[in-house]
Amino acid sequence: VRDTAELGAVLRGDPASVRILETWSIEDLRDAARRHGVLPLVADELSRRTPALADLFRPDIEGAVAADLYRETELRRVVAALADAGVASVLFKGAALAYTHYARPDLRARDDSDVLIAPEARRPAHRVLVGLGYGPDEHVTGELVTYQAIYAKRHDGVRVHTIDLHWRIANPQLFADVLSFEELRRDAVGIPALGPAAFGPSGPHALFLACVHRVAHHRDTELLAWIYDIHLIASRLTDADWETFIDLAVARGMAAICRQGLERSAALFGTAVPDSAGPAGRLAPRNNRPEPSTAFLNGGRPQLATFVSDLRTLSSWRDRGRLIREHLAPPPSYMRQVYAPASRAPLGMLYVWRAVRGAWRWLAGVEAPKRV
Amino acid sequence: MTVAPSDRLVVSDAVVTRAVKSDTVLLNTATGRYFTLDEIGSRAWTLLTTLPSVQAAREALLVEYAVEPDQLARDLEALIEILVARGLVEVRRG
Repeated sequence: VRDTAELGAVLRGDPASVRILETWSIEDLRDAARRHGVLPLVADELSRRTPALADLFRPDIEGAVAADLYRETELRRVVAALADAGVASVLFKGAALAYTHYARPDLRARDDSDVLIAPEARRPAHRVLVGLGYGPDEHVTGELVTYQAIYAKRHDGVRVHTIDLHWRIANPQLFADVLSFEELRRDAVGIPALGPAAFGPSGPHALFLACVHRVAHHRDTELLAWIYDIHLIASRLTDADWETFIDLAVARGMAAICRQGLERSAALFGTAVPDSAGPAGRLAPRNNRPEPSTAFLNGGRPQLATFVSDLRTLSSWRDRGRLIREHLAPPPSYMRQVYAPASRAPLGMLYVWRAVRGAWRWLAGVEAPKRV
Repeated sequence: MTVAPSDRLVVSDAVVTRAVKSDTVLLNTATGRYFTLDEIGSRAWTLLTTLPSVQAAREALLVEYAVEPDQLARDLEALIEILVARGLVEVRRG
């Protein structure tokens, strides 16, 4: 909590926050800012306000710029190659916001580049990425378990860029189809810095995604990078954009989640939110029946609850049966890679081990790793 | 490698750059190594890679900065040597 409040003060330009180094060591500050995905922003902000700090943060800023230049070069190639192969794409989350909402793209720290395509474009997109030297990461599979695949590019064995290829916006069934690729692409805005084929979500869609993502995949985690995204996007919306955003949030059953994101952003960064999106506005609860998605706002929610939600959301028993099978029995190649990369343990034993470990993780509420 | 005043410097294909405040970060994507030029180095980089010759860049810098011609010549030579050695520019004979 202390991290969040004090780093939040730095990001919103609170003059008193320069004194943060009186109580923090530079290493602790770096660690906390890195954990929150805001190290480049914090380094830039403190360097700008106090020249004496500029030398301290110079390596952080220069390193972030260099990493981003490489990422940008790769992303331009990927987007152009996808377009050449007839695959329309929309960059989203940090990959787009870095260009559409930040003063410099390197200020938005990110571990990977999120690219959304239409579900039917998965095969050609795979061919394009492999052709560019990317290899698919061994990752949990299953048509109903995940709607994304990780592709990594390596130099001398070291990962230098990661593409997170999505064909739906989120993995939990309740969120997977709340905003389709076609809708996002229809309203998308160009990102000229990444070439003529590069597009990112419109303002209302970007805000919707920013609010939904942190809850759908990360249980309302208060990670500053994601909340600062919300602040920057919300700060640029026009009145008409706000109406579009609120209509979408209400129609798709995401009003409470969107309200939560905006409230956190307002509390940390003083985000100006119009009355229509405020506590008494159209995002406020309307009746005694909460939206099913509000269950995801419970931070201690076990993974098992998401599985139950997935089963409830799927419309056919056939799909429910398939989801259970896919969770219980991933392909042997995945099992080997993840559970026994350096041993010859019998496959049956690996499946039992997975079931035991998975049961504990699902009940205990172990969270998926955060990638900003 | 000796660079003549009439030579021209061209940014290598593998190099990408970004201005950060008054500095410039140069990344050689082929090697993964990056370099940072300060304000004056950034200005020299811009002139060296956009004007038709090293001599033209030298003359422009002499107009912009209060520096002795000999000192500038030495500094520029040292900078060019580093840029060439690290694959950040290619020399086109003038």
